[in-house]
Amino acid sequence: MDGSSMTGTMPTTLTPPQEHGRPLRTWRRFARHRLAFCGLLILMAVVLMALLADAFVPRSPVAQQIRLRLKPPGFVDARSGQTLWLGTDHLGRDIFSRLIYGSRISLIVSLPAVAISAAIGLTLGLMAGFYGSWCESVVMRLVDLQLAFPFILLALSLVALLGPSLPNIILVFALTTWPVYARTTRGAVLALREQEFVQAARSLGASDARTLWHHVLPNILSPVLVLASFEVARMIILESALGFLGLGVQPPIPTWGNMLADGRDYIRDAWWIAAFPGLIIMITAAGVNFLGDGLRDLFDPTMQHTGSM
Amino acid sequence: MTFAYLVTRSLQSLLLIWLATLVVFLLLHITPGDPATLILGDQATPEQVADLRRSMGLDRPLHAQYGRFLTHAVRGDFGLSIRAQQPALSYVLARLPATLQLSAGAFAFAVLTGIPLGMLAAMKRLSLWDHGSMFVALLGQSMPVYWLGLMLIVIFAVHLRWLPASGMGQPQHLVLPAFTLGTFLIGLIIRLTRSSMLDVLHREYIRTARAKGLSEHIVLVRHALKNACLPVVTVLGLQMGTLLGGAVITETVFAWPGMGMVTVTAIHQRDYPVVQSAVLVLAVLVVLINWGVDIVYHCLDPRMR
Repeated sequence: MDGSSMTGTMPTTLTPPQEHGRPLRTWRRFARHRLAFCGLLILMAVVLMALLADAFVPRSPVAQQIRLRLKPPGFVDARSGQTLWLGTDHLGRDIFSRLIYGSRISLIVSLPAVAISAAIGLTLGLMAGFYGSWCESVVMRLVDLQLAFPFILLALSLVALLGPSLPNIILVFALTTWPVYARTTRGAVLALREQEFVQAARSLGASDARTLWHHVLPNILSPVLVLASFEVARMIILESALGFLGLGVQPPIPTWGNMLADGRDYIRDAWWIAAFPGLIIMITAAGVNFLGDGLRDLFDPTMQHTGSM
Repeated sequence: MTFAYLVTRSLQSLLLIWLATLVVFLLLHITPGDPATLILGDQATPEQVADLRRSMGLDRPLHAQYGRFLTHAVRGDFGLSIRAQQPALSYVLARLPATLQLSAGAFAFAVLTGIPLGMLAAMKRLSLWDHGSMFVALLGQSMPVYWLGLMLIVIFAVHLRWLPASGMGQPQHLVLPAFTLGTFLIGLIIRLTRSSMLDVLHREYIRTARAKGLSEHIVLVRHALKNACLPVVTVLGLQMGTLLGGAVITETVFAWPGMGMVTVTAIHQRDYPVVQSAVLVLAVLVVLINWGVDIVYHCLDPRMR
């Protein structure tokens, strides 16, 4: 789902100062949300896969063996006795190994990009919601402007201009996705600003910085965290789209996106080259989305009793 | 509708369009390095670069260049496409109908399946319908659209040979691309319709309508759906940019000769006049659609008057 729409289903009622010190109960509630738990397991598996890639890839992800090109899934290499579980691509590279290494790029791009864009959006949204007036107008017009551009076109053009390096891709994603956070944050701050505990802090003479840091921020973190988890899924998909269009991290480094781009050229003869990277993107993104759903139910008091599907 | 609202909202859109021209202009100038060298590539002679710099006005100060860009843009002049050697804007606009046809097809498919599924999910809460619809929604949101497109090609074009894999013209050419792009939106529509219906179904006017003895059909369509539609319409308006962005990728997969395909090719060929005009045309389109949605919303919702 596109993140900007999440505001519609976000927790609308904000709980006043959060209760701390019941981690076990909170964890039980989360674990009871079966899908969210599955999501967490999937995400952990992908992270482990990325961290320990060297330990369990059967073959080098970049070694080309023309003798073994375009072999279907389950093919047994008679010479080495190895089974090629997911087949090989047009250069005889092992798809299973490449998938495992590809997870690294997906995580290395999506996690920092989400962190940076959430930080930018959170800051601008806080300022817009808290100070209002011209500050709010400027931020909200910037948000509108950004949302007017088809994201992928803007990202493509920027990456093409700056060059498809890893830092550039992260930067471009971060700089083009912050509006959803700004919007959500601003909405939440507007609701909080009028609440008694914020008013009380201000009338006791707390500085703006102190009010924001101690009273406002802790209460808007949960919707932002939920949004960020959905955004991780979107980033993983968008990173692969960039790779598919030839502007992601460049070969020979295997990424799920550039594997799909390779697969497209052989779609008539070797469906497996494109099928598996897409499948793993979908599983990963679905896992992250499950997790986001679970977090939302956890943070939203109105959903508490229905969350355990 | 108040006249004042129409005026402020229109001015806001104009401001956005102006800011968009600024972004599109700066797009070419934020790059490290000289745009003329970027366009011509590394093999160009210094004379060629100097020539292009002069014809693009790159030897003048930035604000003067922007002034020139804006006055030309207002007249629809974005320069010549470097590869096609024809005016960039008309080159891009010639492909607009194809993109609109694809987007409209996808949109119709997504709305016609998404809204009923979302309604069913809300009406039969926690039933198989509900879980099924939410699963479809989740799948739609977790799937890379272009991958879905490729898999559909494998199944329906390569193996079953029922539908063409690429091209445009006959209605059957539209089926796979529209389905692919529509899936992109379905998840969102199902979720929105469901939550919005759930919200509405608990309202007192629904109980009143039922108590009056109106048939369930009338209650659901006339009372519930009509009210549940408002948030769906607004968010869908906001998602137009995303839809057109999805069209860019979908067109590339199915070789659909629309603006997206032209733009992606132009980006690869460093044909900047085409990229600039395409990005701006799409942005203006999104701004205008949102303007229209807001005006319609304003007319539909009596509370806004």
